[in-house]
Amino acid sequence: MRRFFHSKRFKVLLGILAALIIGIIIAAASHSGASPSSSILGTIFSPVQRLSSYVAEKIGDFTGSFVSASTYAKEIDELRQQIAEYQKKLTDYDDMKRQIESYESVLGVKEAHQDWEMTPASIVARDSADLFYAFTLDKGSYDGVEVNDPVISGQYLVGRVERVWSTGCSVKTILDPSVNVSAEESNTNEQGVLTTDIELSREGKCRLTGLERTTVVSKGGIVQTSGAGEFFPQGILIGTVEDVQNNTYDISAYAIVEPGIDVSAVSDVFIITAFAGQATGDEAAGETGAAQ
Amino acid sequence: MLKKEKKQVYLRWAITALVILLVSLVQNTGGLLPKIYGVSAMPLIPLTVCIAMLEREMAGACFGMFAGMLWDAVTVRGDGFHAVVLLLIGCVCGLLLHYLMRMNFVTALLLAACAALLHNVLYWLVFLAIPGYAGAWGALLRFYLPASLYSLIFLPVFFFPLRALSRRLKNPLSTNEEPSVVL
Repeated sequence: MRRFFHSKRFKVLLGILAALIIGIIIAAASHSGASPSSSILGTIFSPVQRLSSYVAEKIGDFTGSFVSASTYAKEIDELRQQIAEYQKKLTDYDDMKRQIESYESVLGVKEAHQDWEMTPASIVARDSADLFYAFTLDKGSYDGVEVNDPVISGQYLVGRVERVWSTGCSVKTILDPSVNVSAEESNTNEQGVLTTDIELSREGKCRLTGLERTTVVSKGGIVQTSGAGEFFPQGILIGTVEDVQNNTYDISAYAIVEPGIDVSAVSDVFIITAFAGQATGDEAAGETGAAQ
Repeated sequence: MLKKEKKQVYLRWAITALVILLVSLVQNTGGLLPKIYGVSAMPLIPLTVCIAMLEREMAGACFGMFAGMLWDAVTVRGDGFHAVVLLLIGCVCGLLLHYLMRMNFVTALLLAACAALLHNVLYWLVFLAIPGYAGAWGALLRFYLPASLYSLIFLPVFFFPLRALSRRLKNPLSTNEEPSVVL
């Protein structure tokens, strides 16, 4: 050790140390704050430093995409959950809006016909073998529903109840040829029977039969139930007249009626469980059998 | 009958019943199965055929009746029609497989086509043609015959998985062997 302290190398080392200390003092005293050595070295090596930091930045970007992937994935999951929540809220909002619109239209009907007792129902099933868009509702005899009760959607007639059990019922629509409705044209009060056949039904239309050849019913006329026959109360809208034609086999005429509601697309309806002048169960069974 | 074989039989029947329930829900819920030019699919018919092919005639008839009853629950005309027809389809398909035909996809296709045609033509005849509705022939040509064809699309969806299930649960009928388990 003693030899080291006496060696040339130690002296050189001391010299370098001294230079550095002097450089620090100069750096402290100067405006630039840089010692001469650091200035010289900085000038020489700054391009290299710039290259090095450039490379480090690029490497950082590259590794950053892997390092942060889990973070991004987590953020994406959270955002997806938020989107799903908003979509659900939007769907619920749309459902409620649709229900409110349905109730609002029925409120008008209820105010106009205070003798009607109605119960809301939803379509739960459709018979795939039926051509005429028959459906099943979630209300049955427990809710006061009986066979032949009219079914409406908003202000429009959809059909009548065909089968009832305790918790549900099946409905035949007005596009079913076996459903006959006593109807009238609201403007002229000309009465007839609303029915249809398979061909017309496929076009989504009905026929108001029993009109006279001299009928004044014309295109655009509004057809509604007439109340005759005691199965349907008076005043339920059915649709509008599209055309009037003469029968080829007798002296009557008929009107092609386009229903005001698309029975294949309804989802929420009201069942009129009671109204003034409604036929009782036995009367209805007898009249239905006679009609058929 | 071995206890293990009995359990496998019951398990197979339970799964079959669940499949029938699921398919009937899909068939009878509006909007789930797309309509092609207004023509609906009736997948319960090929399903009944597949089940009857894999089980004996009695089990095929019972499951056919079950499928028909689920369909009748939502029908608006002829309560009991589907139960009777699918029971007969199940019974006949089971008998044919037992005595005359072999278990393979071609047989299934043939039987399902005949069953669908039979069911739909009968339905048309009883509820549209005989009551005398105008335009009934058009309904047959434009709805019920195409619906029979459309329903056949579901046959491979039912046949292969049900056959695989039967083999898994060691139903000898699935491999044209003589069964040791009898209903």
